[in-house]
Amino acid sequence: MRRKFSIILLLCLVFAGFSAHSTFAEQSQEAKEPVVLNFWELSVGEELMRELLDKFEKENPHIKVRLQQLSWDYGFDKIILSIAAGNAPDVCELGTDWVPKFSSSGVLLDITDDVQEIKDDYLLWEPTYYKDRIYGAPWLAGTRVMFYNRDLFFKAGLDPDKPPTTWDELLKAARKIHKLGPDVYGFGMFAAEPYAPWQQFLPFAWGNGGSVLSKDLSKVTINSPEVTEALQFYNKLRDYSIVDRQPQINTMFAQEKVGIQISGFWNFKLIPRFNPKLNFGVALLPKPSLYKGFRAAFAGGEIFVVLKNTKYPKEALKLIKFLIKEEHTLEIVKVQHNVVPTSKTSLDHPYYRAHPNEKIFFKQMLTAVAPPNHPDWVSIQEEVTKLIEEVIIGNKPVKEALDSAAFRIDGILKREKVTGRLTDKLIALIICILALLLIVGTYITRKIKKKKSQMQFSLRKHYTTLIFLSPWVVTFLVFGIYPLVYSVIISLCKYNLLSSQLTFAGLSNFISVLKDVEFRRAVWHTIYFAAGTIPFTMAMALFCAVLINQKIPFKQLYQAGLFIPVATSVIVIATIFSFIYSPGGLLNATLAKLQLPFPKPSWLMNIKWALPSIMFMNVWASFGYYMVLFLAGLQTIPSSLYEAASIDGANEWQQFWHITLPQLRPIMLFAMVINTIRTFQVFPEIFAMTRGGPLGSTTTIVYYLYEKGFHKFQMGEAAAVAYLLFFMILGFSLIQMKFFKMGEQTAE
Amino acid sequence: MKRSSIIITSCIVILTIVLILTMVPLILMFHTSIKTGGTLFENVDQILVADFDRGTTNSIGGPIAVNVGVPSWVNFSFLEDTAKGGRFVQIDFFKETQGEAIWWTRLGQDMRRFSRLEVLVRGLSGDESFSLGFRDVKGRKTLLPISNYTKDGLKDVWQKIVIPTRDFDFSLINPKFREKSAEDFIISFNKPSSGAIQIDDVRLYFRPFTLDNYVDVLISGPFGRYFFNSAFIAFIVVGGNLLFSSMVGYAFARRDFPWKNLLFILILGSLMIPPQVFMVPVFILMKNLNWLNTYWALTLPTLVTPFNVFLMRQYISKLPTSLEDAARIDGANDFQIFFKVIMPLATPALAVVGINTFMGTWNTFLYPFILTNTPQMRTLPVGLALYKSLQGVDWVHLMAGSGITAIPVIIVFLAFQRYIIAGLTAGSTKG
Repeated sequence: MRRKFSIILLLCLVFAGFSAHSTFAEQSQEAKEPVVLNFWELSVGEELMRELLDKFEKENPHIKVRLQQLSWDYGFDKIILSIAAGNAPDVCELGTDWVPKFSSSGVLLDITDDVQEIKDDYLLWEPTYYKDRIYGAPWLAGTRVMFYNRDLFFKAGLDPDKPPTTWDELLKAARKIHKLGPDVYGFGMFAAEPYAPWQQFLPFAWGNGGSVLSKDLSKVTINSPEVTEALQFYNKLRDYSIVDRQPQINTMFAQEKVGIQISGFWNFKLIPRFNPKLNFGVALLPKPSLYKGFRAAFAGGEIFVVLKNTKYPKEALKLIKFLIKEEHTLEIVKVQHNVVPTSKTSLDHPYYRAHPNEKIFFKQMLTAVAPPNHPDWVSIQEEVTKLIEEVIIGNKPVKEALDSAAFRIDGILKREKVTGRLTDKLIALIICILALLLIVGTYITRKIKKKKSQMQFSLRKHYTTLIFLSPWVVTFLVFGIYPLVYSVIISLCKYNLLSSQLTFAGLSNFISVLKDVEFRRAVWHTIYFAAGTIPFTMAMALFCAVLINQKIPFKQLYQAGLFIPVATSVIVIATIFSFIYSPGGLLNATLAKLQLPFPKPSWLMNIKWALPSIMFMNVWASFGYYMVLFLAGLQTIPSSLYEAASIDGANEWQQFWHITLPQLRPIMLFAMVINTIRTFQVFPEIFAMTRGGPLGSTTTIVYYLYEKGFHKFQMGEAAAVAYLLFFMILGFSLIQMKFFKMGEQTAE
Repeated sequence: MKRSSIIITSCIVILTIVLILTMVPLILMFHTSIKTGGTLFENVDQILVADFDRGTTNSIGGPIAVNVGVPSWVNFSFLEDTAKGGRFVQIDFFKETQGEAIWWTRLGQDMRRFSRLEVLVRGLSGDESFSLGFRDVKGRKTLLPISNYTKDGLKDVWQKIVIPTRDFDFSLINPKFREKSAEDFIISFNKPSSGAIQIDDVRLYFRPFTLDNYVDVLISGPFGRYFFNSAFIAFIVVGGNLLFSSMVGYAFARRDFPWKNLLFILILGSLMIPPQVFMVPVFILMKNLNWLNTYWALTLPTLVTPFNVFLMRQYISKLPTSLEDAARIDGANDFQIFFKVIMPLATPALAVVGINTFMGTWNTFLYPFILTNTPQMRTLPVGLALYKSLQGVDWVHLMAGSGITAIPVIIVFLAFQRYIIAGLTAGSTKG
């Protein structure tokens, strides 16, 4: 009976509801001795960190520290997730730019009173403040200094022992170096990534007395004369610069193609690896002029925070105070050479007497500026990056670009806050209500249909079907429903991932997303991407599959060779292709040899060419996959069909057209639908190669979604985007199915 | 006959061209992974540690400094030699000296990557004796007396001394680590002697290729464990999908049941929602099931994937029903038909499912990263990502790490691939 089926479904649904709200989690045993602190860390390796923690445990035998190593690329997502799920650690390392978001969400412990006595001994407190209270303690600091190529200085007639100290001198040096050759650039300018561009530009503005926000963070001051002047200078510098992503510029600097670069500690490690012969110097960043401004730089670093829900605040603070001590931070500095300690006394430490280049970093740190600690800085900095790209890539007039950036940032400052909470209980309740509705619905439809329906669901007749279906049914009920319901609820609410605050918002997420110009651009890019890849991927795959299916020798060699790109991880392929596409890369070198023109700025930096470049890579990396599918599909075609056809005198082309294609239809449908889904959801390629840039020209729907959800924490809008995308894909797939079904009927 | 051989030859030519285009970036990858240094395209063969031609610094940018016993009797001066071209350094030292001249070279190099050290030396009196060597961050050093490499002492003419790096005892520096990272190049005067030596053009030559990159990556963490985790999870998930996905696919292809189309759209639909929005709820779900950091969380949700169900449904629906009907007439029940008739016929599709699932599970990064907390539960991609983020982007190691993940997938593909072409239907329906 259909009802029995429904009852089973109901039971499963209820189970799913309960599993979502199970009480297992509360069973964790609470051993009183010793105290166990969960500590998450991103920037020091497990080995060294463990050494320090062992020392700490020895000094404090009643505390045990459980260390979790995270990665910079994805660690942030994981911290957010754990806080959202109420599974946060006790002590955690955060980047300075993340701290305001966390402190304003109320998930961090206020430690103002506990750090009062050590406050004056350390640098970099600004990012830890929120409403005059302190929510973290600075651990390690980092800044950027000027790296310059001494050989290029020498060749350009500049004194390698006197690096530029003012804007004018910098401009002059860059110009002289650029004169050395068309592929030698005076300065390396960052673009098309989220952080590096503003971290490079803002120091010029700060040094000139400008700022993005007013001191109390309530007003936008980015279009002030000071910032305007800095951006005008920066724009002038652009004429002698190469504009590219940071990894590419680092490499070009090592290859002696860039004279001056603003960079961090990593250069000390990278340069000997890329080009150990490089003769470079390090200096403080220049200031506006001899009599004006100061030598500002970007200040960032690592902050320790204590999470509010910790059971052991005292022990957590003890751990923090232990780790930030000079003797311990210097241990890290000595091994990693990529940070400076935050303790003020370190300037005179013997270590820095022996390492003059690293000492420059510490000196620069003393005049470095931390970005404003506004909770929405993540969104604001994106606008700053966009502003810089508009000017240096898009050639927008400085004043105009600054005014429109000021307007956009003002919009961010005025955004509203959300309240309310999403709990597991709420979701469990909603799942149960949905289940009930489903049952009532079936009951009613059953009553209506009763007379018409001939197909009776009898358990005896269908029990084997149920067994065949059961793996999916169970998986779906246990793992599928909860995320589905959760995301639907979220899409109808304003939801702050970090503070778990939630208010019902109806369809406003959908409306605001649809109104967003960026989203509409993302939709266009996605459709462009799909339209430009699917036909080529399919054609290549089908073509190669049919060729391999002929009686050729070494079939397996070709099959495996063409499949290998699919077997390699997307991130690796993206990294390799980034370098093939870079200005001095393999592609341009080949084109130059063949005397063919190539675009300038180079492929991935070019607003017109960035997306097609990624599309080409996508076709290259994925056609092997569909080729294998088609090969499998070709095996279902009975050879008798071909034999009959060749007896009738059909040639290969006719055979392909009248036998192969129609017979391959179900697999073609599958391949088309899957390829549509994949291209509409394209993400890792974009994430690894351009991060949506330059100037948003490669922002696809899923990249837009990722930014919304995990950078700006507007999970509600992200979910709305997901469902809009879902309907788009569904629409396309249904059209494809209709098309293939129609074909199927005419073929038979 | 002639016609078909033309077709086959052109097939081979076209395929070979495509194959070459496909392989270039990957050959680049494996080539880089065995280099001793440089980037994807750049090769470096040597480092000029010091040549003194420019300013008071050496070529790498550090100043020249002395660290000698008290009282200091080591003296540096720069001299010009027009015949030889360029400047060189002269070091005068006196009898009581027991000290070292150290170039703050900031070498920062892994000494395992070099094959030999070359240096130009001239001794003014001829009986000078000293040692050359390297020093690590903490001041531990390895030294070799130069007399071993000059036949009859130093001469008043420039001599090129070649010291193979294997002669140095590198176990002395950085004893705890595999990477023998030397910080500075040093000259040491241990014996009480005096004189003046002149030095120029200190060079280190790279070895042509190395497998150390692979070894470095593999021992940077419990990679054996990561390997086991990845393999174990992949094995379970592949097995699950081969069985369960084909069961469900079979039901959708051959059975009639209520809500069939609706359920199928549900399956397809769950593929169409971008997985990024499920990250948060899946994490919360796993936390509530108390499955964080367990194999359950990493295997169970993917034992049946909509993707494979869809593939199997499409494939099975294309299979001829005649064999099934024949088996049913012979009295086989549903399960016998499924296992004895459908599964063998679907071998090519099963091979595709196996390869794809293995590949997907093996390479997947996000969920294993989010859902695990301890090194014991990490998978290979997670371990590699952590290695990468801590070491900075170093091309040779990055590519070695990528090679390590890619090789098993290629092996599995090679093992499964013959089943893709091994069609059975052609023979069985004919009879």
